[in-house]
Amino acid sequence: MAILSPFKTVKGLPGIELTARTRWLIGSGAFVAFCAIVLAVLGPAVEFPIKIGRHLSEAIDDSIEWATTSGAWLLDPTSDGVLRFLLLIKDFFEWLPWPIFIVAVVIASYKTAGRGIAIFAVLSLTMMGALDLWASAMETMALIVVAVILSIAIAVPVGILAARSNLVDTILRPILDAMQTMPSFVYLVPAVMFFGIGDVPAIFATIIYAVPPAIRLTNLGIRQVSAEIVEAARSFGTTPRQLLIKVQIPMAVPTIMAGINQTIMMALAMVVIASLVGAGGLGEDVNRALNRFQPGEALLSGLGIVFLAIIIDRVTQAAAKERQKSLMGER
Amino acid sequence: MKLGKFSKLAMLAGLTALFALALAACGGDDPTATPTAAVAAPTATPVPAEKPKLIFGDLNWDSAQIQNAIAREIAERGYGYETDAVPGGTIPLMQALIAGDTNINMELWLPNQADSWAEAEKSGDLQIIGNSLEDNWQSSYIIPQYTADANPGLKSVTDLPDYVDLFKTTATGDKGRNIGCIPGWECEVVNEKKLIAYGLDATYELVNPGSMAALDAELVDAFTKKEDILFYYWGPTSLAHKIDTEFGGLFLLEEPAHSKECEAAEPAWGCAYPLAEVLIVMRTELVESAPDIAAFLAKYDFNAGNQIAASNYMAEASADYDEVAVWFLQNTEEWKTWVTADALAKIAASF
Repeated sequence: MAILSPFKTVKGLPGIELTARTRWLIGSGAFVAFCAIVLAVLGPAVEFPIKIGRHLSEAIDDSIEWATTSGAWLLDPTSDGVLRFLLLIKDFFEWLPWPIFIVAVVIASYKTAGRGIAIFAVLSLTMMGALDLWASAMETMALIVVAVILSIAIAVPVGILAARSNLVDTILRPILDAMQTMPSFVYLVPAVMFFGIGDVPAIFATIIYAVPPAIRLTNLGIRQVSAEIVEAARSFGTTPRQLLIKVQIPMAVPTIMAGINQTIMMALAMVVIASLVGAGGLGEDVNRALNRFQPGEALLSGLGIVFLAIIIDRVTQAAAKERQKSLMGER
Repeated sequence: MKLGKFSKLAMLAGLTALFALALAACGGDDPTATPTAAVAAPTATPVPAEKPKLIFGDLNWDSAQIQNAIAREIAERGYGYETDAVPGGTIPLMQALIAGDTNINMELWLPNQADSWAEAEKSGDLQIIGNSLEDNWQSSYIIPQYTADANPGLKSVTDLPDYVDLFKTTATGDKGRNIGCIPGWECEVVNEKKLIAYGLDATYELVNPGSMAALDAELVDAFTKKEDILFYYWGPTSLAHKIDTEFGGLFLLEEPAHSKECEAAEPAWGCAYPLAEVLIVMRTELVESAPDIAAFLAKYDFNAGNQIAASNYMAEASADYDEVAVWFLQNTEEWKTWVTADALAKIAASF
């Protein structure tokens, strides 16, 4: 039983040398025989004998309804709090005169990402104004800013927990996988039942989709801090709290920022799906244009999302690199 | 005896086979396991080569999809046609019909789709063949019956400014929330005009629900919690019927009766939606090459009773559209007057 490698010859039945090839033949032969027996006995397209789907889905429906009514004491204030925060940010972006926004973005991108991106920012933002996408773009910015701030607030503590405990890490991994691969429509409708139509369910759906990379990379960043550095810090008598706050987190910042960059990109990718529960902005423009069969309009609004994504991506990436460089310098 | 990896795999496969066979044997006695096979059989009957394929535009709402499923079952079982359905929204599917990618549309809503129909009609390739969904209604100013009972003064759209407090939300601030139509549907534009024509834009804000799924979820949630809510909806729909039977009903606020003049006045649309005409459209070439289908659809007439029966069954049995269609053909009578005696016999024999 000890030898499992298929490339080695092992002793099988007396007198027969079982090579990898013969074992493969036996295996596939058995599979063909299995298929032949099933087909012969039951015929093609056999019904699966146990069906529990409907009972299960009805039970889930009932529990969602139960949660929306009896969880109102928690859901309503949460929804209200997120909405007030969003309205604040939205008002700010609505108030912000476009020249100030453009100049601020250009300065930020010039300082971090260089001249190329600064020129791109001027051109793309001016074009968005000219295409009459400005108001929608600002609404989308507000949504993204709120979703990303909330994502970071969730991701950093959860990522730290996962970095410090292998158990948490093991439990968390399949959950994060599910969050990233579960089709968003599946949780959009329950989100409406929980938070009502509008921006709040959209923000929650965006967080579900966009938070995993920030959690994963926070976890990774802290785990990557080399053992020698941790050892050295310990030998100077740091407490675990000091070790985390003064050594591990600062060292992990570039990785965490890469995670946040991914989170922002994924949040932007959710903009159109979020519009299906009533979120405004560029996503709503795309949704409306597609319902009206105006592919041109949809493409232009979609390009608006791309422009925002490229600018934000380059700026945050460059900022992360800068931070990395200064860390290397410190070492 | 030492076993290699693949011998083990083979044993595993054998065990799985035994297990699967045992399961299947238990399932063999289960009477519920058989009907799907029986349903699938009739579609396999050979179709003469010259019969065109019927391609339905599968519009993305309940009544259209139920009607498509019923018409497809009748065409397949009774008339021996091959059918298909292409999913989409009103406007893309109108384009598909004009282009010939589909050849039947079971729900053309007039006047909602008046503009795109006027354009489509010019091509000369399309013709209206019969009536579809009857007894329909739509309104942008619907409140729950319990809200109407609690506020006896709220009877018409002109009363709305006095009751704005009922409908305020955090998102709309000082204004009341009027949940509107799906973005991109024709009713979205009409609802905006109505808000202005009634002078409600100072006190109410139209809120876009994003999609029909979200609108339905919001309504179910509000009615479950007995919240006051002002919204756009239409019927006959399964949700409107569910609200009637389970949540105490809807109250449509009074509006001036519809007229062509008010629709064109400045400001436009200071009046109710007209009763819509819901019609069946076919491509002319299909009317010629499938005259038996054209005759069937000309007699076809789907009233609210049919729609409610079908959507009730769908909700109760959590059935899909095909299952609803089969149930409809086996359990209701009215459709029997739409088809020829020959088709009726074939459909009856197919079960």
